Amino acid sequence: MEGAGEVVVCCSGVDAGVTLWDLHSGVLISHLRTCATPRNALAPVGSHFLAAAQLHKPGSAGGGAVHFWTWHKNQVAFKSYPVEPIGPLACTSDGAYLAGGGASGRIYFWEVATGQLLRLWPAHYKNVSCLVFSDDDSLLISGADDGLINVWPLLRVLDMGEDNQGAEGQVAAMYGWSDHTLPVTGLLAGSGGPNAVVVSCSLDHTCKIWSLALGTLLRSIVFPTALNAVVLDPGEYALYAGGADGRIFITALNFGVPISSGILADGILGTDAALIGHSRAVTSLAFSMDGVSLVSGSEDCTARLWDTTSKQVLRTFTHNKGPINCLLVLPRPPLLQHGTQQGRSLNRQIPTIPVAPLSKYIASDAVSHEPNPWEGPLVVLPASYQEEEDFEGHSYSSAAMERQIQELEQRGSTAAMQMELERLRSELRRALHNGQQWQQLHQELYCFCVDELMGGNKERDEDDDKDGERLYHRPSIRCGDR
Amino acid sequence: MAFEEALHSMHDQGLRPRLLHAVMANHLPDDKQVTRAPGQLSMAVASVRRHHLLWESSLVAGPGLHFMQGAKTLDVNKGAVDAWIEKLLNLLSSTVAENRWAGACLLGVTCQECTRQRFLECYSLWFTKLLLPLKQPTDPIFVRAAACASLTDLIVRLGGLIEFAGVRRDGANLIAKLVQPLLQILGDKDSCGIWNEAMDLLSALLRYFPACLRQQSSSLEALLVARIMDVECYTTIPQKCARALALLPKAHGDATTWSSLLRRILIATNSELDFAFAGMEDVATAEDAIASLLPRGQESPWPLGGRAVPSNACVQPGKSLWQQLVPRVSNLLQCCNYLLTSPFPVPVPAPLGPLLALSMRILRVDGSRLSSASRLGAPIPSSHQAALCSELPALHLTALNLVASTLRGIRSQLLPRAADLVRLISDYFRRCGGVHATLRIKLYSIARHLFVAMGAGMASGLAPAIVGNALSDLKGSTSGSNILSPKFGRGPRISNSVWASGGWSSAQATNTKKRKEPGGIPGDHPGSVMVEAAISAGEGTAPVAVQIAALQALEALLTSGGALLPDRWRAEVDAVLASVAMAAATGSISAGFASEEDINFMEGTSIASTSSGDFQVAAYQALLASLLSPCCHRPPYLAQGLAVFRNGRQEAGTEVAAVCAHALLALEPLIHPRCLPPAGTPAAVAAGMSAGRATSATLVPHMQRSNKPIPAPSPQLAGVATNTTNGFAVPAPVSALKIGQLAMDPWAEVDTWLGYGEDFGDDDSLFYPETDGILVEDYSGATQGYGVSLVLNGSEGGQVAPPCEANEQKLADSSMDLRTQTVQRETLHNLQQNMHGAQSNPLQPVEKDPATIERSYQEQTGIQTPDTSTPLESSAQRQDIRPVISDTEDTEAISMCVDITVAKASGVGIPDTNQDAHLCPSLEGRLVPTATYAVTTASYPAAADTFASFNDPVEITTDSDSEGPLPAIVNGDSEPDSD
Repeated sequence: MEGAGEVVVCCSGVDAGVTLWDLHSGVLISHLRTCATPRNALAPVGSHFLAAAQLHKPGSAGGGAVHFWTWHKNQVAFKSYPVEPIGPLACTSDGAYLAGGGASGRIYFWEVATGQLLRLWPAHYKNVSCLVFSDDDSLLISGADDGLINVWPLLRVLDMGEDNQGAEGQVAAMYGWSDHTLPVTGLLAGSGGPNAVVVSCSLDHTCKIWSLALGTLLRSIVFPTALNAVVLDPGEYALYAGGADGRIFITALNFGVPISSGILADGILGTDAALIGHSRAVTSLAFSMDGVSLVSGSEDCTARLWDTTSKQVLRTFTHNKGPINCLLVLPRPPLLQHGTQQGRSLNRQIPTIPVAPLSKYIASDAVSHEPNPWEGPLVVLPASYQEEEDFEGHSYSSAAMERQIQELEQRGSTAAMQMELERLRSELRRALHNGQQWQQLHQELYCFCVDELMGGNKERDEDDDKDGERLYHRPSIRCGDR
Repeated sequence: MAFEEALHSMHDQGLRPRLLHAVMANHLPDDKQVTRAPGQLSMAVASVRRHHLLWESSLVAGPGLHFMQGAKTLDVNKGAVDAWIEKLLNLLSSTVAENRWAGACLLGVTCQECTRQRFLECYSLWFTKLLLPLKQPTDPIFVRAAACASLTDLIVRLGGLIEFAGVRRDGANLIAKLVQPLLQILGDKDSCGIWNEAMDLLSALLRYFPACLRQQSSSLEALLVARIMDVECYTTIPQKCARALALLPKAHGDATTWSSLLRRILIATNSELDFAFAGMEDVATAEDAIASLLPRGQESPWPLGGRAVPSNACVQPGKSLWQQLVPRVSNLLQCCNYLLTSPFPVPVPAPLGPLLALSMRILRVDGSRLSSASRLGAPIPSSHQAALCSELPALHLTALNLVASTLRGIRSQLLPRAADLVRLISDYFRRCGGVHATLRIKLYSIARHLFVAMGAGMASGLAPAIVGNALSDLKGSTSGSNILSPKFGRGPRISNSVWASGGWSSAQATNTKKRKEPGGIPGDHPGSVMVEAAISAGEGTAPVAVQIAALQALEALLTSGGALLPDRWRAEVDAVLASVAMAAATGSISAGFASEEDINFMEGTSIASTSSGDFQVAAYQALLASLLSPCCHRPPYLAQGLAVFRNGRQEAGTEVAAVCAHALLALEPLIHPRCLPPAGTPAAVAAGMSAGRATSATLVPHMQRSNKPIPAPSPQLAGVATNTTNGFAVPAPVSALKIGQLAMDPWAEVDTWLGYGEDFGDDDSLFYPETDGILVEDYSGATQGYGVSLVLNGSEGGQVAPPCEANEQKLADSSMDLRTQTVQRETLHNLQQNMHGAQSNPLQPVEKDPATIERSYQEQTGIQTPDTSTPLESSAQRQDIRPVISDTEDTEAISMCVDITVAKASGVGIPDTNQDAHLCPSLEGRLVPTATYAVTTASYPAAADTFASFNDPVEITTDSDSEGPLPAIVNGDSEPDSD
């Protein structure tokens, strides 16, 4: 867990900012200023930004506010002002789209890169209280104070080509579940895209488990108190529900779960199994990726780290500014890894989708006067080349060589001809050179023979004594004469 | 070589310099001797590469046995490489062209193969040497081309080292000298012989040192565009030009350049098409495509390639319009593809609308005349029409490629346009997708990527088109049971009512209604009817490649949204996939195991005759997806699927076998439904295990290495165990006995390799090394989930047994980021399968009347027991064994006994798996909701007996596989014991 690790992000309903702790060491990492959120209103946008919807201040005008921070700066990076107060926020896992639920029951859907409000539709009769995306980012699930839970397929939500209602028209939900009798307070989509389960909790003391594939209620669990938050462990083995009395209830999600004594418990671990420690209502729950650590935030101004196997509190994070409203457990953002070389290089190399301030209204084509209408949203292109040539060990030179050798052997191309010509030329040069040498040799022989014939006897008489000298010098002299 | 010394072995460090000298002497040309076959050179390169002759470190080849010689060897090595480079430089400056050529080629290989230190020392010298031939136009083409290719290798290597101090600056200085000669070569018609290599060089420059070409980018653009528009070139040159052009914006590295280039390419393409499609397309479509590119009130951008190259005007004489149009358009669009799919340092504004509008524009044209257009303008000559029709498939293919790369580049941000894409693809399937196999394959592959990328929403939108078409492709029209004739092939048009209604049943209603409508949309020509007629009246089945693509598309559909398919369609898909897989199996396995009914079913199709490895792989993977994808009843073809996979696993050495083994592993949670180990960190679990092993050893055995002394097996047992071939499945002492001379734990060696001490207690840190990143932690929960199947599967009671599987899974997870998204999806899907066990297992409202439970048990036992070929003997043996088991205290001993059972039974005879097929739920019965798997888990101890009989001699053939079902016997039997 060195270096990377996870952080606990939490903020409260009073203007106390956002506080970040390291999950495993408990060290305070950072404090982002100016934030007071309703519940479920905190969402990481991509890996570089954090968004939080702001509580509507009683005295102010009608609009809402959404604040954005980058992780490494304490001040608000920018603020956006939607037309009405926004409650819950949810962002797709790649940080491309942001959804917000309004107090009037409408859902706003923004494109993060441009800030454009793509769609705005009436989804509920009352204030939207929770929003989540399914884990394949193709479905948006919303719960509201009217007790309804609706599932929206994004493909259909964003399809404005067919229906002529424009971007503010009605959208048909894929499912509408109305079994809760009181406001829905917590919502969670399990793993598995369309096969996942959706878990919801409500003030009516129940947790309900729904199947996305079938669109039906699978199970309803009644707890002794009103519930504020619900979470599953990553293996979806147990369900943890945070109650208004400060208890966190544990229920086995599945039947037939072996517990540590090796005996199979049929069904429920018992609704009386609970993590007890908070003195006031639990408002938010989050699981760590290690699968055993649970973090809970409460109105008693603390967040607690639980070991779910021993049901003990491992650490208490004290948030002394106010009751905790939202809590997230995130992998430590790369921007907060400045200390490590890895973090630094990571930040430099990878381009990310930019975040633009959210627009207030839907831009209609007739009104928009963008300078470059052909340009779409900013996208990050794929990080790797996809040509097959670039595998490790591809050698341009040997590829070219093989090709040339083939051409040479078949003498197929003009280049091969040229090469052949070069070769012949050099052979010609060599042959000419040889010819010259032979010619020279021949002349020497000729001179020698002529000399022998012409003055052989006389010279022999003269030079009987200095044989060696004559043999040495005569040819060169003769040649020089000629 | 100073003095010759005998080599110790092939790993001797002294081998390398010697071989290098030999290569120099034997394969390299020298100045005195000219005629050497050019093939010698490639042999030299091959041996340099194979033996890494240019490496200089003595520490490379594994555990060095001769430490003493290290320094000396290093010197010898260094000397040999020095001599080699000396030789090459001599060759390069030789007067003989052939030698210069050889030198240039070998220097390129040297750039790649030499050590980093030497490369950093020498690259600038080499660069200068290689640059010389490029500057001399009189040199033979061969030498220049070789120098060019070698320079490319040098640049690529240099680009990889750019983080080293000074490399960036020095490299830029060197490249500045290269740019002018390169431009000259590209502009010079005479040196067209080396354009190929020059383009590679240019691409490498743009990729690694883009800033060096910033000044020249406009002239480069003009050159490249001229080459692309020039149809006279060789075919590969324009493609390489397109790639280089796509890399050109990197020279500036800002989003504006990128956007402007793409915009101008799109404008050029549209204007190319204007003339070609005149009179054949709706004018509004063309205007749509161009409207946002050239908004009113803005001056148009300067044309592609500068003013020198008027894009549309240069119709070359001697070539018809059509011969030029298609290559040009396809090259331009190819360039768009490269632009969209290559990395870029900053986020870019992708012109989503124009890209899709252009693809739509091309795909809408089907070669028919518009009545309105011919009335207005001059009538179109029919030759024009015929020529257009002959080129349209190629154009459509490029348009589909553009769609595919748009998806690749823009990914999730395509979401606002996803509905348009759904309409486009469904519409195209309906209108013209049926005729050309390549188009159909492309359509399927696009659909597949869409499913993977956009998940459930896309699956429910595009499913009708894909399911209909794929089923008709797979079944063929001559199939006896004509449930799905090509009428199904016209997937319902995605219309307003479908979206609004939101339900599948109404979607089907719309479908049927639509079909009865006489007219249809304006584009709905008699042509589409012809297409369907061609399918239905033709030879019946689609080509194998199309079927493979269809299978893959169905697989992706089931993976990403199988649960959302309406029941009727889901049942059809399951049935067809099962029968296709069985037919593929019978195609390869002559001893057919499919029942007669199935053979009859498949007789109509010609799949069996054409089944190849690829087809089998596709069919098996699709079958696996169909079995795993949750639906509201239990998978009807589970037994057939298991039989298919078991048989397929015997095809040793093929990919089919690997796929089948994976499939069997993935099906484990279906057979032994979800049961997680108790929560706790791996360390805690391990500690807890060693303490309370007696009770819970069967639960998490694989997590732990046995530290406990193991009772010595009786001689009889050891004798039996030697028969088993698998090192993993055999308990440690037995394997030690088997190996004999190596009386040590085989894992100890692995621990040493991985840097763990001998005394390392448990293997958990193998699974959870601390250096693992976030990603691994991310899946640790899921890995536990994986553990479940293993746990249930059991292993020989807390033995060394199969950490390998968990480990592999772990590794796979940690390397997940390296893979493509598809793989991730698949893995996630499998993991998810684990998490939910047998679909919706416990959460589903289960009708738990005792009768159903009873029936399911009977089914479980009934399937397995009677179909052994020798039921009497095996049951007799089981009775023999029972007392042994109940007497034994320790689980290891139990496993031994089971080994005996197994080994003896294997002598008895291999059962024929045919009978599996008879006993499984029949085709008609698959819709009857049977008891879900919750039943099996809910009363686990009772099921244990089932398992005991479940696996006896039947599965003996899978004995050698560590994830085989064999250990379940132990699991099942030992549990009542421990109770």
